[in-house]
Formats: sequence, C-alpha cells, structure tokens
Amino acid sequence: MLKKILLLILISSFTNSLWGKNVAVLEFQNNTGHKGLEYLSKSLPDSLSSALSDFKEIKVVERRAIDKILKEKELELSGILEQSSMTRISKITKAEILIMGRYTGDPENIQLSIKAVEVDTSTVVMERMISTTVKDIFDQSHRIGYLIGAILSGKGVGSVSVNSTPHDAKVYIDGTYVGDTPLTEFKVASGSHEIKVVKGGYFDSETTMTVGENGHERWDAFLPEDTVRDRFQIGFGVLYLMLPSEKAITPSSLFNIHFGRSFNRLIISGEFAFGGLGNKTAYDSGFGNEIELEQWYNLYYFAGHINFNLFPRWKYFSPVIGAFAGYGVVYYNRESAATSEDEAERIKEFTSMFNLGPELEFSILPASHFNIFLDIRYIIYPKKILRNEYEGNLFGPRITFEKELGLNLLGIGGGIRVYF
Amino acid sequence: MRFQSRSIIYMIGSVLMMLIFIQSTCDLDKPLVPQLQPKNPFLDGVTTIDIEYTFSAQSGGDILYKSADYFIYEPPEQASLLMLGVFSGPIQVSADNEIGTANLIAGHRSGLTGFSRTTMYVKDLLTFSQTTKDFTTTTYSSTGTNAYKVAVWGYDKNGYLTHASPAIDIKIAWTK
Repeated sequence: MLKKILLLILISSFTNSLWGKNVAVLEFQNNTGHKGLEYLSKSLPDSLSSALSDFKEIKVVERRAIDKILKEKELELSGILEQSSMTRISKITKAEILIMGRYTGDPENIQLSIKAVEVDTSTVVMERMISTTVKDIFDQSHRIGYLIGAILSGKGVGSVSVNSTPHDAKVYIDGTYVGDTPLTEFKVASGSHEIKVVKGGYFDSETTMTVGENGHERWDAFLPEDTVRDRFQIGFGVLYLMLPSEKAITPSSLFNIHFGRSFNRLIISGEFAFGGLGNKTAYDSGFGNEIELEQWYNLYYFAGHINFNLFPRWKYFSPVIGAFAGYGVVYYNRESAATSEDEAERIKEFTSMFNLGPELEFSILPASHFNIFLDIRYIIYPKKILRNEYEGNLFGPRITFEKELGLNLLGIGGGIRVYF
Repeated sequence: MRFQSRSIIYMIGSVLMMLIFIQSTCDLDKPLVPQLQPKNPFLDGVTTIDIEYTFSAQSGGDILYKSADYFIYEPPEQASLLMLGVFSGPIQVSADNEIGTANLIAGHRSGLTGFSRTTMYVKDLLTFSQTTKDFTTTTYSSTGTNAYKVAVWGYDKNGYLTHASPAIDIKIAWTK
C-alpha cells in the first residue's frame, strides 16, 4: 500500500512540474436525503473536472486515485473538509487547489454549493451556490468548472456588477442564480453572458453582456412594476357581428360593458351586451314586384368570461385567450298586419337563450392603468331563433311562413378598459 | 178678393213647380246612387275604397252596365297594389279575409298592362283563369245580361291587405 502512495506522490510531483496548478476535485456530498441523487456525488465532480481539463495551465488530479487514497487513509468525505484534512489530502495528492461541493434539496430544486480552496493559504479562490434542477445541473456545474478554470489559470476572467431599481432582485447569469442586487464585481469567464434580473411584482429585465479578459461590466437594471396581476377592471367596447351562420342575418354592432378582476394570469369578468341584427326579407307580392320588409333582432345578454393571460410579462402587447357563456333574450321585431301603414305596429316576441363561445383578446399596453383591447370571439346560440318569410297572395293577406334560424356569429371589435 | 187669393195660390204653386223642376234638373248631373247597395267594405278590418256608379241605365231597380261603361274607384295613396274583381256569384270571404275565387270570372289588377288606378272600362276586363289563379291577357267576353258582384281591394307597399270597397251588385249587358 505504501508503494502505491509513493507512486502517486511521484506521479503528482512529475505532472506538477510539467503543468501549472494541480487541482483535485473531491467527491461531492449528498445532503438531499434522496438515494436516487447519490450518483451526482461522483458525476458532478467528473463534469467539473472535464471543464477544468480544457485549461492547459491546470492539471486535474485523477479523481479515482484520490478516492482510493482517501478510503485507504480513512479520511471522511465530508464535502467541505476541515483544514487539517485538506492539508493531508493536499500532501498526498500534491494538489494546490481542492474543489469541494455539496448539494441539497430535491430533484426539482437542487442547491449546489461549490468551493475552490487554495490549500496552502486556506484562501477560498471561488465559491458558487446555485439553485437548479437535475436536468440542468451538469450544464451548470460545467460552467462553474470553466469559471474556476479561468480564475485559476489567470486567463479569461472578468467581472460584472449588477444593480437594479428596485433593489433586492435576484440575478441570474446564464440561467444560474448568483445572488441578489446589488451584485458587485462578480467573477465570470470572459465572453458573452445572459444576465437576468427578477423580482416578484415587477417585470423581469434581461440583457446580454460581453465581458473581456480582466474586464468589468456594469448594468443598472430597471424593473417596471407588474401591475397586470390582481387588479379590478372596467371597460366598454363594441363588436361588429359578421359572418352569420345564416345569410338572412345582416351584420351589425353589439355593444358591451364589462367588469372583472384578474387573479395573477386568470381574468374573470362579467359582461352586459346589447345590440341588434338585421333580418331583411323580400318576397314576390304576386303583382309582379318585390316587397322588402324590415325585420330585426335585438340581443340583450349577460355573460361570464374566463380568460387566461398567455404572456403576463409582455409590456406592450398581451394576448389573452378564454371562453364566455351568457344568458339573455333575443327580441324578434317585425311589422304586424294593419289597416294602413300609419297604423302598423311592431310586434316584439322574445326568446330566452344561452350563448357561449371562445374568445381571443389582445391588450395594448397591458400594464398601464388604461388600455385599448382588441376582441375576437365566436358567439354560438345553441337554440334557433324564428324568422318570418312571406309569399304574395292576390286574394287575401300574404302567406306567412315561420322559419328557424341558427344564430352563430363572428364578432370582431375592441374597446377601452380601466384598471384600478 | 177671391180672385187675389186664387192668384196667390197659383203663384205659390208656380214657384213650387219651378223649384221642383230646377231640383230635378240638377239631380241629372249626379251619379245615381242606389239606396240598397252596401256601403261597408266587403273585408274586415280594412279601409274603404269608394266606388262611384257611372252606369248607363237602371233596369227595374238594377244597375245596368254596358261594355262601354266604366267603374270609378278612388283608392287612397296607401293602397299601392289594387285588384278589381267581377264575381258571377256571392263573394266568399273567410274569417281571415281570404277571398274565394270560385265565382271570380273577370277583373284587372296592378302590374298588368291596361290597369288604371281610378277607372276601368267593362270592355277592358280580363278573363280570370281558375288554373293559374290570375287574370289572363284576354279580355272577358260574354253574351246577354247577367248579374255580378264587383269589388276592389288593395294592399299597401309592405304587402298588407289594407283596403277594400263594398261589394256592389250590378248587371252587365254584354253588348258591343
């Protein structure tokens, strides 16, 4: 056994003379309590070592050899070691830098802590703590390994400082949470980085920064207040009803007023709508001419809407999808028989009917207290409405036929809305 | 004194005779309106269309039209579409103002060539077809003198049956 240790020391000394700093990546400590995540204790250091091996100035001590030595010397793997233990390992492996790590949490949210320590001086060269998922953890550990490599090799390292209005926002660099604002001279590998600042109740702000070697970049992020969530709304609009399911119906307008409240991305609102639909009919009088008669429908209904804000953080334009269901009356208006035109009176018959349909809405400047919206919806009346059709008669009153009409319509319009 | 009284009686009598003569002369210029003809429209719930009697002669109390005679009716402007019907028997009308055509033999209407909104000559009446239930383009012709009922009815611009005349009883002597 002693021979093996001596051989390792000899190899380490030799490689140390050929390459730059010797770095040993120790096995990470699993504090998650999940045995299923135990494999990360070895595979994460492998990922880190792989990144370090890209730097010629760094010699990564073969980790299996380290594990073997540690077991033989009965040193406890604690992830973050005591100084005495670090010194002993350093002596054995000839590693100047020890990289240790531990992780906790669960598969969906793993907190990974990695520390690089210069053994001789007990100086923490770099320390990172990230929150990520199992899916992304190797990518993240590889990045950290690359950053450690850049720092140790003294090449390709820069820094960024991130501030925000308001303060205490979370800063993510390349998708990894690195701390809260103000973040000062945070070391990163030189190159391009995606930086995102996030704070609850405010819109995210993100940018791309290119950091040069030994360079320092600063970013003051402004986070607009996210007022889309949890607020009351009142508004009115108009829909142009078109493309009716029956040709007898002529397009017209439907006016609506609505009141509602948003619950995060969900918007629940009530609407009162009213409008009319043309229903002109023409028939041969029997005398050789055609007679046109005005008939029309008046619609009045209350409807409930449930909508979902697809992109609540979009600042200038926000699409919302949803559905509505309503109940109201359809008045059928027509002329009655009368002895003269002057005496003609209008007959009103009404039918109570349900309606429902899908809805697509686009809000312009959705975060402001006052906005304009565009509304597209398809209104379906499951029950049919009545329509009169006529036939001329030379020897008596005209002959009247009642016909059922399906009333399905496309509504396109818009309106204004106030939030409070 | 006795002479004077008799003269006064003669004078009064003369004046009365003159008045009766003048009155009877004036009556000759007016249409002869038979007292027994109906005055109400033959349909229910409609406005009346007046018919004037411009016949040639009365025959034993009957109104006698000849082929060269004409009917005059004065429909209001609201009655934009008109029908004139000559029935050979009673005009059958149902409760909902549907007019039976079984006895309809001739007439005219709006939309056909030669129809007038105010005056229709007997000689211009068209034959009614029981097949097509409309007037043909052929003028009606018959022989002898027969009794008929004549009526006019009209529709407003929206197609409502809104006007009708009384159904008058006449005789027509179908002579050229």
